[in-house]
Amino acid sequence: MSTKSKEVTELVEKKYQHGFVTDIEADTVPPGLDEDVVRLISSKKGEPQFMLDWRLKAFRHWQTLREPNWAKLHHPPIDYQDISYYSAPGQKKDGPKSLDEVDPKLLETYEKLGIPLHERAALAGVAVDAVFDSVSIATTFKDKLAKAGVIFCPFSEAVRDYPELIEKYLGTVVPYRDNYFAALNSAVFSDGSFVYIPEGVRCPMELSTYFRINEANTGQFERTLIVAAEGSHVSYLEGCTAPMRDENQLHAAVVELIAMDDAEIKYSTVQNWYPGDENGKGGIYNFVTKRGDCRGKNSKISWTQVEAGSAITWKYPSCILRGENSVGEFYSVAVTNNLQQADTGTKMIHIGRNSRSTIVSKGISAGRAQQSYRGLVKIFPSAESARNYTQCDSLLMGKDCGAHTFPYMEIKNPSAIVEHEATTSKIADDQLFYCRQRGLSEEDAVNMIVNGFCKEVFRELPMEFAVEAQNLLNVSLEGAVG
Amino acid sequence: MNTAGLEKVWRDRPADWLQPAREKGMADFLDTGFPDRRSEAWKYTDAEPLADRSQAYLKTTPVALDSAQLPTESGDSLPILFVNGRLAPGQMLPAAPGLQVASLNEAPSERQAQILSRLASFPGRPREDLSALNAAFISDGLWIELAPDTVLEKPIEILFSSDGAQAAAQPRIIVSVGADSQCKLIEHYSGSGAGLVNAVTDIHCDHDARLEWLKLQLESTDSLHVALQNLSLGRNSRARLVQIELGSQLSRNDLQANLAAPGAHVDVYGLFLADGQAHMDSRLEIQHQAPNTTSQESYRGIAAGQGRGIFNGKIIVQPGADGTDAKLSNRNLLLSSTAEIDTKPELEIYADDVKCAHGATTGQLDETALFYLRSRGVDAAQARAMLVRAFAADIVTQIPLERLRQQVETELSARLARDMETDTP
Amino acid sequence: MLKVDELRVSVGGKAILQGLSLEIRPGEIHAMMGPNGSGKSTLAHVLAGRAGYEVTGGSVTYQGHDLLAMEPEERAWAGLFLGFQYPVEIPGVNNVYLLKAALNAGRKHRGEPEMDSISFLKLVREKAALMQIDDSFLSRGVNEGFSGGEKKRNEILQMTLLEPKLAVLDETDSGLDIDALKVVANGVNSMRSADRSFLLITHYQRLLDYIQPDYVHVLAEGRIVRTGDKQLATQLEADGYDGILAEAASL
Repeated sequence: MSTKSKEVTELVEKKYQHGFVTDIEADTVPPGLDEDVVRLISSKKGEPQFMLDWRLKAFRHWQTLREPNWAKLHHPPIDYQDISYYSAPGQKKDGPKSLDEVDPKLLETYEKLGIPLHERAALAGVAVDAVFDSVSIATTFKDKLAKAGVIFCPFSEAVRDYPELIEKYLGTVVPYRDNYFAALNSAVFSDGSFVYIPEGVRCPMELSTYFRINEANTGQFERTLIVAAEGSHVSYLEGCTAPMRDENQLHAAVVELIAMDDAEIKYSTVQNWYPGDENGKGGIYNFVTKRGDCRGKNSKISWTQVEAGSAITWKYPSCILRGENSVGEFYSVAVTNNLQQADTGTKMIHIGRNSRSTIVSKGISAGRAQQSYRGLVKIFPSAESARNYTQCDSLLMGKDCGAHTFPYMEIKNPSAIVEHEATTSKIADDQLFYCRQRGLSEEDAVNMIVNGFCKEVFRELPMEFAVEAQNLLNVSLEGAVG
Repeated sequence: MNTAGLEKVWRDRPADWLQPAREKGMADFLDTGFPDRRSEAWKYTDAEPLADRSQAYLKTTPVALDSAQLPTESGDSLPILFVNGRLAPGQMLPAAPGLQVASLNEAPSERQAQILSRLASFPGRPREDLSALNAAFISDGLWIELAPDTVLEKPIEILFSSDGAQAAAQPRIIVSVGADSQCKLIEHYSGSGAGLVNAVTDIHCDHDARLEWLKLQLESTDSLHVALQNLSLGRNSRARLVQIELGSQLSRNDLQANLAAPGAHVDVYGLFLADGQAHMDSRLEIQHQAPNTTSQESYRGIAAGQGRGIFNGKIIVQPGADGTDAKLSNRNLLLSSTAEIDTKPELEIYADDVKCAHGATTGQLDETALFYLRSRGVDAAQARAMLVRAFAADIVTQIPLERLRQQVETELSARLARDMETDTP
Repeated sequence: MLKVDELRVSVGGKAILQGLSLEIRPGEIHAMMGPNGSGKSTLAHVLAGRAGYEVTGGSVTYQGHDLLAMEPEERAWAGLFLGFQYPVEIPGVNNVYLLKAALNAGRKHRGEPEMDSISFLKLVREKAALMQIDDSFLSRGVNEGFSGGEKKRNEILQMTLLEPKLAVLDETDSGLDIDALKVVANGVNSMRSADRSFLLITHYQRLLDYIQPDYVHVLAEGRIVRTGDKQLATQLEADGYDGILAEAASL
C-alpha cells in the first residue's frame, strides 16, 4: 500500500480552473518584431522620447543575443516573429476613467477569477491593478493610497505622470543588457505596475497586480518597478492566469525592486499560468527576470513564490545585498506535474557588511515533470560577517519525474558563514500509514503531508493569499486552529 | 586554443602497440580541445596553464631514469615506482598469488588485446576532463589484475615521482578486482620542480569485491596536476576512497564512481588544502545506476593565503535506481581575506524511491574554541593551526596506512603553522 | 469483537506469525507479552493493515467483517486504533489539524456531522489536560521534536479523542518513566467500557500494575504458547520467558 501513483496523480492533477477565454474585441498588432513594432508600442502608449530611445537600444542589443540554454529545460525553438507583441481589449481612446467605463466583460472576467474589482466587493485591505493582455484595465483603491502618498498605477500611466521617477529608476536593477529575455522585455514591454512608497510611509494596504493573458498568439511582457524610499514598507502580490490553449504562449516579465535605507519590500507571487495539458500540449513559457536591490542600509527584500503553473518556468528572483545589514529572503514552493518543467531558484549577492540571506525552497515533482533548483550565493570580499542559510527540499511523486539541485556558493570573505542543506525523497510510507491508521484517506493523507512539507513557505505569504496558494496545491489545509 | 602543434607532435611519435587507443584519444581530444570556462565543469578553473604546459612538455618523450633509489618492499606496502610518468627500470613488480602486474609499455603480448579493450571501453569525457589527452599520450602505466577470491593483505603503493625535468607524465593505471577479492591501492604523487601530471586510473570491481583506495597528492608547488579516477562497482561490492590533495599550484581531480549493480556501496573521504597561491579543484560524480546502491561522501576543504579551493560533488540517481541512499557533506574553512572557496554540491534525481541529501558549509574557526585555547596559554597562530588540524583530522584518520597518515599530519602541521603565521583574517 | 484464526504472516519470505489464534470480546483487556522477535509488533501492524506483511494463511474477523480485506483507513473508521511503538514525525503538519481531520473523517463515515473548530478545540484541550499535555504541543508538528514520552502520550491523546472500539497499543509503555506510565495508564483506564476492548502489547509486566488485564498471552515464535490471567505476567516478571518457553517447547 505504498503511494499509489494513480491516487497521487489525481492529487496533483486537478483540472486547471482558469482556462476560459473572454470573448472581447481586441486591438492586436500582427505577429512579428522589428523596430517599427517597438515604435508602435511606444506611440500607442504615448511615451516620452527617452522611453522610446531606451526601448530601441534594448531591441538592438537583443538582436545580438542568443537564447540562453544553460537551464535544464527543453522546448522547441520559439519563433519570435510568430508572436504578437501588443494586444489590448478595445476601449475608448483615453482608457476608462473609472470602473463604470470598464467593459463589463472584463469586470466579469476578473470576478470569475476571484478578483472582484469593485471596491465594495473587493478584498478588504488589498488594492488591485488588473492587467489584461498588454494593458492595465483598472486599479482599485487609488484614492485611499494617494492619501498616504503611495503611487500605485499602471506602468504606462507612470511613464506619462511620473517620467522623472521612471527615468531615474528603470533598468537600474535589471539593465536591458542583463539577459536575453530582459532585453526583449525592455524593448516591447507593454504594461505592468509601478509602485512608489515615499519616505517613512508604511503602505496602508496590500498591493496586488493580477495578470491575465487572454488573446491567442500574443506574448505578455509586463514590467514592474517598486521603489521603497527610506524607512518605508510595502507588501505586494502578483497573481497570474491564462486560458487553456493548444499553442504555447510566451511570458517574459521583468520585476525590479529598490529598497533604500531601512525600507522593506515583501514581494509574493502565486503563479498559475496555464501549464499545458497532461500530454504537454500548450501552456505558458514563463521566462522571468526578477531582482531586488537592497541599496540602503538595514533594507530588506523578501521574495515568496508559489509556482504551480506554466509549461516552462525559468525564474530566479534575486537580491543584491548592497546595503550594510541588508536582508534578502527567498521562500519558494514549486509544483510541477505532467510534462511541466521548472528551473527556478535565486541569487543572493552579498556586497554589504553584515548582510544576511535565507533561502527556503520546496519542490514537488510529479508525473513526468522535471524540476531544478538553481541558486547562487556569492559573498564579495567587502561582505564582512555575511551570513546565508539555504534549505532545499524536493519531494518526488512517481517514478518518471525528476528533481535536481544545483546550488553555487562563491565565498570571498573569511568572516562569512554560508550553509546549504538539501534533501530529496518521496513521501515516507510510514507517514502515510500513520495518517491512514488515524482514518484519513490516502489522498487526504498525501495532501496533508505535502502541505506540511510546504508550510515554511506558505506562512510567509500574506494571509489573504495563503489560502489561495494552498488550494492551488489542492491541499486542504489547516483550519483556524494552530 | 590551438591544438595543431600538439597534433603534429603526436603524429611524429613512433607508433607502439597502444596506437589504437592513442588514435581514439587524439581524435576525441581534437574534437573539443582543451576545456574552457564555458564548460560548466571548468567554470572555476582556467585550463590555460595546463594547455600551455602540455604543449611545451609533450614535445619530448619523458626519459625513464635509472634510479638508484628503487623502492624496496618496506614492510607495509608493495611499492612500484614511476619517475616522470614512466616505470623506473630495473624494478621487480610485486608478485603474490592471484595478483598480476604488468607495465603498459612492456605489456606481454597475450595481455594486449584485453588492455586495449579496457582502454576503448573508457572513452573519457572530452571537454569535461583531460582523459582523452592522456590516452593519446600515455607515457606508461600498469595493468593490475586480482583473481577472484584473492585477499591481498598489503596495499599496492604506486609512487609517482617527478625529478624536476620538464616532463609530461601521462600515466594510465588499469585495475581489475576479481569477485570476492580484497585489495588496497595507493596512488602517491610527489616530486620537485615544475612538472606536469595528467593521470588516469580506471578500476573495475567485480561482485562482492572490497577495495580501499588512497590518492595522496603531495606534488611540488610549481607543478600542475590533473587526475581522473574512474571506478565501476559490481553487485554488492564496496569501495572506500580517501583523497588527500595537498600539493601543486594547480590541481584538478575528477572522481567518477559508477554504482553499476545492486548492492554496490562507496564511501568517499576527501581533503584539500589550498594555500600560498594554490588552486585546487576537486570534483566527484557519484552515479547510482542500479537499485539499492548506497554512497556516502565527506569532503573537506581549507583555503588560506591566496589559495582558491573548489568543490563540486554531484549525486546522480538514474531511472530505476530505487532504494538509493546517498549522502554528501562538504565542509570548508576559509582562513584568509585573499582566499576563496567555491562549492557546488548537486543532486540529479530521476527515480522516486530514494533518500538523497547533501550539505555544504563554508565558514571559519569556532571563536569560542579559539578563545578557550588562548585562555589556556596557546598563542593565537598555534591555536588556529590546532583547530584547522582538528578539522582535517576527520579525513586524515581515514588514511589506511599509519606511515602515510603520519606523513600527511606532518605536512599539514608544517604548512598550517606557516599559513597561520602569515594570515590574519 | 475480534477473532484471529490460525493467522500466518511472512515478511520478506520469512514466517513471523505461524498460526496465531486469539479472540477478544467486547469490554475485555488482553495483554500480549513475549520476547523480542516473537511477532508482537507484526501482529499489531497486520491488524492495522500496514504494507509489507504477507498473510499466508488464516483469517481475521472484526465485528463480523473480514478485517484483512479492508484498507487501513477503513479499519480506522470501523473503530480500530493502533498506538504506534514508534510514532512517526510529520514535519509541518500541525498536531491539532491531524486530530481534527482524523476525528471528522471518522464522523463523516459514520454519517455524523463534522465537529466545528470551536467545539473541537474545547474537546481536545480537555483531553490534553487529562494526558497532561501542554497546549503548546497541540500546535506543533505531529510528533516533531517530541521526546519519546511525549510521543506516547500523544498517541493516547489521539486514542481518547477518536474513541475506538478496539485499541491495539504496541509497546506504548516502553521508554516511559513511572509518571508518564501512570498518565498513559490513566488514559486507558478512563476509556474502559463494556463495549470497548484493548490489546496491550508489552514486553514488561510493569504496565499491568496499572492496567488490570482480563487475559495475559505469551507469544513465542509466532504463536500463543500460554494464556492466563494477571498471575502469568507476574510469573513472567519473576522467572523470565525461558521457563515458559521451555515448557511450551516440551509440549
